[in-house]
Amino acid sequence: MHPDIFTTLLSRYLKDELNAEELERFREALLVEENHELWKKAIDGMLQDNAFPAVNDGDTKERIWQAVNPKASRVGWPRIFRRSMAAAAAVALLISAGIYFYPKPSKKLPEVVAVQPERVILPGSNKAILTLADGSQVTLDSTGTGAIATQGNTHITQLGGGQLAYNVKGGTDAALQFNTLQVPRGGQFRITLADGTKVWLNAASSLRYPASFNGSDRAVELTGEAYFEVATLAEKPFRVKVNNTMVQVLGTSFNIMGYPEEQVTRTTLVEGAIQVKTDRATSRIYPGQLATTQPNGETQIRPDADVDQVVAWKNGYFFFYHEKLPGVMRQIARWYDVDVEYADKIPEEREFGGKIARSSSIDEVIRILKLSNIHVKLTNKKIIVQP
Amino acid sequence: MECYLHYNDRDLLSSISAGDQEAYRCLFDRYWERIYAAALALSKSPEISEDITQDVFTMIWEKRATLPAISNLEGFLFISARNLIYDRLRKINVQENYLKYLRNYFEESHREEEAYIYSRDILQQVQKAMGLLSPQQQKAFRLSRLEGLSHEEIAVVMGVSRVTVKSYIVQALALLRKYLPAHVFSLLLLLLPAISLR
Repeated sequence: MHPDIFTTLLSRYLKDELNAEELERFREALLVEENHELWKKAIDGMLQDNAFPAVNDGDTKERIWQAVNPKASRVGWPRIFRRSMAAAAAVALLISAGIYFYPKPSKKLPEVVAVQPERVILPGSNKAILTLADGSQVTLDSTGTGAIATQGNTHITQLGGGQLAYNVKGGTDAALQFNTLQVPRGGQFRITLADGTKVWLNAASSLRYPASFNGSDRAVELTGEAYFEVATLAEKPFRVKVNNTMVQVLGTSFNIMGYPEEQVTRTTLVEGAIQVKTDRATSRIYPGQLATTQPNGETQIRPDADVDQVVAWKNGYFFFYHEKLPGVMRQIARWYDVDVEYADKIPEEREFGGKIARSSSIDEVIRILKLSNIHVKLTNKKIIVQP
Repeated sequence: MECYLHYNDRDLLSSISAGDQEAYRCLFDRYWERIYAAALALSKSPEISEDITQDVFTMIWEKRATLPAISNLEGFLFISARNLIYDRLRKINVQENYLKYLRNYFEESHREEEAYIYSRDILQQVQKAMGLLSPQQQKAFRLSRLEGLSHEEIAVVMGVSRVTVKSYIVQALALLRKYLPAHVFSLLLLLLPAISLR
């Protein structure tokens, strides 16, 4: 081995930068007699330069001192035994733990026969359909960029990467022109509205909004799930209507999930302040709180929403926490655009948590589910949950 | 350290050779960390580095009678330390246990986050397994996997070296891997937020 190569490997070894293959090469270098002097020089250098960060570990120092202190009465075991005793203790611990926690024999599950899917199921992607005020429709995806249409003085541009932007050029228009952005199952899309508000739309969701906000407020209508970063305009409150819930905003970030199949509407505030209104109640929500609106208009507020979990979808993850199986499966169904069926009764009692990248293939998701003892069969865009 | 004022290297040498234990302690205070840190950087194992450091100082004390023949104490100490480190590295470098540890240690630098989902019974298994770790191992593991701190940051928080932090984590992982069924071990990282630790 050339001395330069040795030096490079050593310096990367010291910084923990070697990959598995380089580590093997480095190890071999230690066993080659010709490298003997290189090694010794390197260690000499390390000791003389004292270039390593202070260990600053009083316990370690004390332990070593106790072992080398001539005054210390050596009542303990000689060092060589001490080490093997520690190993024996660790093994004993493992054995007793093993007995104690021996996994209960599980009921034998029916064999799951792998079925080749008849249609390829892909994770969701950036796609949406934009409906303009005159009813004409534009299909959007990840790849398109450039001007799409104008609505009065508002220019609509596709930015690439699944984004749409509205820009008001010149004066505002007299009449509101409503547009609708519809994201199908297996899709997601981002939009910047004319006031600068950013909205992330999840799969199977749609947003209806005016091309420019020239009224006294900014009112939009949502179905499904979206994350909002509302541009601050104190004189023009931002309102989101979803199902029976109206969320009124002054300039803030929040997530609303109001899929019809989820029964309740969940509004989670990330920052700022919002009001959640139904015909039964008006509630003020503070950052980190989650408001759950029932179909009858009752609203419950939980003070400790897990914001990371709620907005995980926007960051490319499914994030489950104390989620029952049907909730897990509904999210999968919306993103992979598949239907879910239960071969037996719906298991309600088990709760799940975890994180799965939304870019995972459906096969990967099925493998992950299997690890948690959820066995599913995939046939032609349908997932059948086995008992 | 007060002893720095009392002794220069020449004095240390003669005092130690005369059996002065305070002078010996002074030598230890002055040099232990440098030897330990070099051994740690090379072996990546706090246990082995402790052993090597002990061997160096034990050897000095045992050979104290021959010290007057030496002209340069620091030079002698470093050459002794270097030889002990080098010999030990060559020895452990063929031991299967150590190699396994070393490979895990380097893998720890390249880990990737994986995604899984888990259920409550699995959670309980993990909770119990975490109870097997030493408080130090648990703390390093939690700060790394749960708080997302880098090894350097954990080293500062815990007041130990970065290598020691990684060794805690690698040992914790080895123990958990041994104890937990494979499918549960693979869920580990994601389960941590859901369980309470010491």
